[in-house]
Amino acid sequence: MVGKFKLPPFIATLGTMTIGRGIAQLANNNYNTDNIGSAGAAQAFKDILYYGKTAGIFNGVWIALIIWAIFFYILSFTRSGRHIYAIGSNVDAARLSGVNVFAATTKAYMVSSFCAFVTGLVTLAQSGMGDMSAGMSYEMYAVAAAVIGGISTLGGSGLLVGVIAGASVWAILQSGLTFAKVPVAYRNIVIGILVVACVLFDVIRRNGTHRPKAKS
Amino acid sequence: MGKKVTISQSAASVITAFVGVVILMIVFSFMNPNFIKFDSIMALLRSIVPYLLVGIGQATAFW
Repeated sequence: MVGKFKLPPFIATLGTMTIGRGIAQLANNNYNTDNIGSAGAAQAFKDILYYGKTAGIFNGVWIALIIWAIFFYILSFTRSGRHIYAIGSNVDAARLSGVNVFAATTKAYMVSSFCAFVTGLVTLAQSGMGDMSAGMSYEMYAVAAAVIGGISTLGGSGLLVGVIAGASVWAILQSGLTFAKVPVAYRNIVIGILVVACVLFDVIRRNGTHRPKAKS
Repeated sequence: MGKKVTISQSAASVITAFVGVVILMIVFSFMNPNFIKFDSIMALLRSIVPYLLVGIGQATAFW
């Protein structure tokens, strides 16, 4: 939809997310599914994705790092990755240079949906059931991890290693403010301000400097 | 000239974010010493996983 019909990405994301939630609610009459239990395969699933450890580190951490490394390689060292960067930087220039914009856009969103899929599996392994409220606000977490890590919302700039820092800042803030017994309302305010400030900083940086609109 | 974004600016953003991580760790460990215990760090690492995964997807979509 974004590549072919030029639908604004945020509208496409929020719209399909709402459709997906609706389908999930229909599938089980808006009830959480039964717990997958702790018998053989179910426990193995939970251990592999969340509770188990390898070399003293939780498996989920290894999985996230491996996925990060794979996409770092693809985005940095392959033609498809450079095309994704190119269309984010200047879509017209990329098209004139022979980049298949539709294909590159589709690949970018496939990467995004794959990451959402793995996140869903990890969340399922954590809770042990299909939770109707799981993943709420994750669209905000995704934006926060990216923009705090220096990924431009305007496209074409940023380093994938920044997402590690962005996700860490986000998790530390959530965890640290909980440890410090800060009320949820203040937590949300602090975190919201941080995200807006990061995006604002990026926009000002991309425009060179802040230029107020000239009076007519 | 004003619109030119170099890789060094991206690197600067990443370095700033990592400095932020260190500062937050120090601040929260002063507020609650339990924050930097081994088990807390491990739990923190595990809590980063979903944010990192959705962040990778979002970063790719932003590009």
